[in-house]
Amino acid sequence: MYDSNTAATAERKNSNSPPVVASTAPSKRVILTMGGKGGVGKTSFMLVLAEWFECHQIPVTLLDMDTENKSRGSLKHYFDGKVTKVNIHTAAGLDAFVDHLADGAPIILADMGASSGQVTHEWFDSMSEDVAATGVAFTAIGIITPDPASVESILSWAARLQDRVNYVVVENATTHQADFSYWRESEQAKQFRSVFQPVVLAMEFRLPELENPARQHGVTLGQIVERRLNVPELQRASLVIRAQSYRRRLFEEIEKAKGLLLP
Amino acid sequence: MDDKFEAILNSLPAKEPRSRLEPYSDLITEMRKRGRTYREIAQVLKKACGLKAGTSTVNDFVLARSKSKAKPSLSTSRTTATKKNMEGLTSTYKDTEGHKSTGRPQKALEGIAKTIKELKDRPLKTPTKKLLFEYNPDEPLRLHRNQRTKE
Repeated sequence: MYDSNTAATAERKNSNSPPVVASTAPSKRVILTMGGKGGVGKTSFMLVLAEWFECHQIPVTLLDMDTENKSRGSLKHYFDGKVTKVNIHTAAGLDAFVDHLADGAPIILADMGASSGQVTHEWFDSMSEDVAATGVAFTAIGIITPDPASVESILSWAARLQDRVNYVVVENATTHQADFSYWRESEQAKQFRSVFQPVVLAMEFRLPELENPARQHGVTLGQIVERRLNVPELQRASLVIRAQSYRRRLFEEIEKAKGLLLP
Repeated sequence: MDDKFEAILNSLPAKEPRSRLEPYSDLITEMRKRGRTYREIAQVLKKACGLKAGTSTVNDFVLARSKSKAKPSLSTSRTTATKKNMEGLTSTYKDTEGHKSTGRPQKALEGIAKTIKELKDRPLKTPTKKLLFEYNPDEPLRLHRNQRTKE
């Protein structure tokens, strides 16, 4: 179970500094999605994040831990050949993190599937302390939609992960005028923000005529922008410009959390 | 024993020794005690006693005799061994102060005693229950929008 260092905790509570995970300066980082609720846009955000790293020529290892999502919509669907599919529902759990980091990867992007909570939490209870001691930091990415279930999901994860990770929360506007009341104004979410001070990013609403064919054909915003695809419905000039705008603004948002995304 | 059975037994002719080596039993035992090999014993028997016996025959004879001699049961031998170990262990502790039998330096023994004491005195590591953030998934999210509007 979670074993907090009370002295460090008290000190952190009294200061306004963000939580520190590793006692030594981290040299590697594992970024994982908090995969409690399905269909909130975890993979969509991870795709843009992977592109952000690629754009800055920072090598990352992509792990698709969404064993339930076998085909369309999974990280592997978009980055086939560059993604390792990992079944975490084994006794070794998330040990793939350790092995890939040992192979030299400075950053791991792990897209967790829905219902991966139990395995992840148990792995953190048993392994994270020793892994963190080797200079590995963890960043958990939570995706919020207007659906209160998405808020409940990240609060449940945070109650288990505590301060063993840094938190980035992405407000994914799934409608034109998305209402994030349960995230912004509920008592429990306020307490979460007060304790862990997550970096909050905005992911604006995307037009269905862009989003749906992109998901269907497994193409990223970058591929649409650079016209590296053979999908007629995504070659319309307005959609290409729109994809470019979305990507640029998301990259600007991601920059806000770069301290928690880089080792 | 019944007299009738006793009479039967007495009427039986004396049984020949099962091994030709039986008359030389004491000699063989003594040679083994003095460290002679089975091959050497066989050679001595041949030269000194005119008895032709192979090395393996001598070997089998010695083994058979050693088995037939007072054979302690497994449980007894284990008990003896355990007792010996216990004596060894306790003597190590007993000798900590004066310490002559084990030959271990006095300083090293003091170090061990100190380590044991520290280990015993060390409190058990119990996980701290205090959590930074607690959340009950069975409770609905509580909004305070209306209260703020009234204010």
